[in-house]
Amino acid sequence: MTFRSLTLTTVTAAFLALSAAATAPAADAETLKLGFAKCAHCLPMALTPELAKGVEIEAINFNSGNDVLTALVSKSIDMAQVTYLHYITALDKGFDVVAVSGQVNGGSEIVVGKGIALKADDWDGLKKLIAERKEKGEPLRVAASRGNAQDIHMRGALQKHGINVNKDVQFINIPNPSDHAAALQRGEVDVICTVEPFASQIRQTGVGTHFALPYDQAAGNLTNLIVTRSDVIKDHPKAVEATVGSVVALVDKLKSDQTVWVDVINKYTGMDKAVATEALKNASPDYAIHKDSTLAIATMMRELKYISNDVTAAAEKNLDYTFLEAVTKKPKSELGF
Amino acid sequence: MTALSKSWERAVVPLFILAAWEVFSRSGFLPAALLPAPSVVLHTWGDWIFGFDETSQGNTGRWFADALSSATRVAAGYGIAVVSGVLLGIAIGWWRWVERTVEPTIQMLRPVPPVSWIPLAIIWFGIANKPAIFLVFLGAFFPILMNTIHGVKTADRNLIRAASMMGATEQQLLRHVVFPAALPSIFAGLRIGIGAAWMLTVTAEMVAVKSGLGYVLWDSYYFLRYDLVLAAMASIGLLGYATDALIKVLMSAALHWQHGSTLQSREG
Repeated sequence: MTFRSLTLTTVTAAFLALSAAATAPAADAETLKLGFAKCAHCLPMALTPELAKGVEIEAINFNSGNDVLTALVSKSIDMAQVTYLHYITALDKGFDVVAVSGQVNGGSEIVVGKGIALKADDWDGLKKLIAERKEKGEPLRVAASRGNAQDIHMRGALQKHGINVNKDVQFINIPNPSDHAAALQRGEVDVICTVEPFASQIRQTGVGTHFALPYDQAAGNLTNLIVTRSDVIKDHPKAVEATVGSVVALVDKLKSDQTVWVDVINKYTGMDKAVATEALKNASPDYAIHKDSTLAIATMMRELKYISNDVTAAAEKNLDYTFLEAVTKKPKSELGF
Repeated sequence: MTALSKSWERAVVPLFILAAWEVFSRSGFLPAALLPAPSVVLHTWGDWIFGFDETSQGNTGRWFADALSSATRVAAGYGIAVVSGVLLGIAIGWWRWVERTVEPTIQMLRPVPPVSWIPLAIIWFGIANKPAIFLVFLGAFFPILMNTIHGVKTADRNLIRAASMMGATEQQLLRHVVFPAALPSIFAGLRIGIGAAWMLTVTAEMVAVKSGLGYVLWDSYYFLRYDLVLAAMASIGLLGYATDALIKVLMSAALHWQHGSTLQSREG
C-alpha cells in the first residue's frame, strides 16, 4: 500500500467513524428546538437538554419572549417558553399555539422610589397619596412594561384595591425592564411594577423599596408557560412528551436546589449571585397550567383592549394536559385544570 | 423620455414587490397574521391615519400625532447633530491641533452602536424625549462629522492659496472658500445622517416615550400586531424618503455652481 492510498484510507475511515458518531443520537431520539427568553425565571430552561430523556433538546436563548413567540409561530423552533400573556395574545391573532406545561411563576414586585414613604402593603397609604397627588394636579407616576406579566399583575392588584390605573395615576410605559432602575433612581417615576432580577437589584442598591407582591388578583402569580404548535404535537408526540418530562424534572430540581438556578443566571447574565439568590425568593417553580387564572388573564387583557377578541374558549381548548398527565401520572384536576 | 414613463420606471420594482408579497401572504404558506398582506397593512395604516374602524385599536386616528412626535425628535436630534457635526468637522479638518486632540476620542466613540448608549442616556437624561433626542443625535452626528472633515481636508489647495494671496483672513478663508468647497461632502453627510436619524427612531422611542412611530412599532410587536409593525416601518421609510428629498432640494439650491457640471445635474 502506498503512502497516498494509506492516507486516503485513514482519512476516509476517520470521516466515516465521525459521521457515524455524530448521527448516532439522532437515530435514537428526535430533536426539538426549544426557545426561551432572557429573564431570571426563564434561564433555567437552558438546563432542559441535560435533563431530557428520549429527546434531543436544542435550547435556544432569545432576548425577549416576543422573539421566542415569533420564532415559534413562524416554525423556526418547535416549543417555546413564553408568558401566559403571550399565549393569550397569540390566540387572539389566530396563531396555532397549544400550552403543554407550566414552568415558573411569580417574579413580579411593586417597588416605590426613595422619596415615597410607604410601608409594605400599606394600600390605604398608597390610595391616600394618590388622592393627594391628584388634588395637587401632579398625579402619581406608576410605571411598568406594558403587556408583560408584571403590567397585568399590577393593574389587577391596583384595581382590586380600588385604584384605576387609567384614571387615578399617570401610567408610564417603560418597555425594557432593565431601564426600570434608572428611571426610579432619577425620580422620573414614583412606583414601578418590575420583574426579577431587576426588583432585587433595585432593593439591594437602595434605589427603591419593596411595596407589595401583586398576586392578590384574578391572574394570581402566573408568569411562564411552555407552548408548542398542533403540528409539532401531531408529528412528534413522543418528543413533546419527553420535553415536557424534562421541564417537569427541571421544576422538581429547582424546587429542591436553587444553586443550579443561581449558577445559570450568573452564567447567562453575569449578574451577581447575591442578587440572583434574592431574586429567586420571589419565584415559584410550577409545572401546572392554571386554567382559571389563564382565563382571567384573557378577560383582563380584553378589558384593557390589549387583545381585540374574546379568546377564553380557545384559551381553554388549547390547554393540553395530556403530556403533563403522562409524565406526572397525575390527573389534570391536580395539574391546574 | 417623458415624465410619465420615468414615473412608471420608478414604480415597477415597488409594485412587483407588493404584488409578490400579496400573493405570498394569501397563499397560506405562513399564517396570515404573521405576514399580513399589503392590503391588510394598508387597511390598518388607513385606520391609524383616519380612524375609520378601530382596526388599529388604541392607535386609531393617531398617526399624525405619532408622526409629529417622531419628526420632532428627529428634527431636534438631527438639528443638534448638524450644528455640532459641521462645526467640529470644520475645526478638525482645518486645525491640526484640534485633529490631534479630538479625533482619537471621536474615532473611538464612532463604532459604538447607539443602542448601547441607552443605559447612560437614561442615567444622564432620564426618560421620555431627552434620551430619545440624544440617541437620534448620536446616529446622525458621526456621518455628518466624518463627511465634513473629508470635505474640508479635500478642499482645493489652489483656491486657498489664491484667496490667501488676495489677503483673506483665516475667518474669511473658512467662510468663503473652505466651507463652500466642503459643501458637497457636507451634504453627503447630511443625507446619510437623516437616514440614520430616522433609523434610530425605533431605538430612541423604546425609552419610555408615549407616542411616535417607533413607539407604536415596538408596542405593536408586544401584541403581535405585525400589520401595525409593517405600517410603522412603511411610515418611517416614507418620512425618511421625504426628508431626504427635502435635503436634496436644499443641496441643489446651495450647490448651484455645480449645475451642468456633474453627473447628478445631467440626470435631473
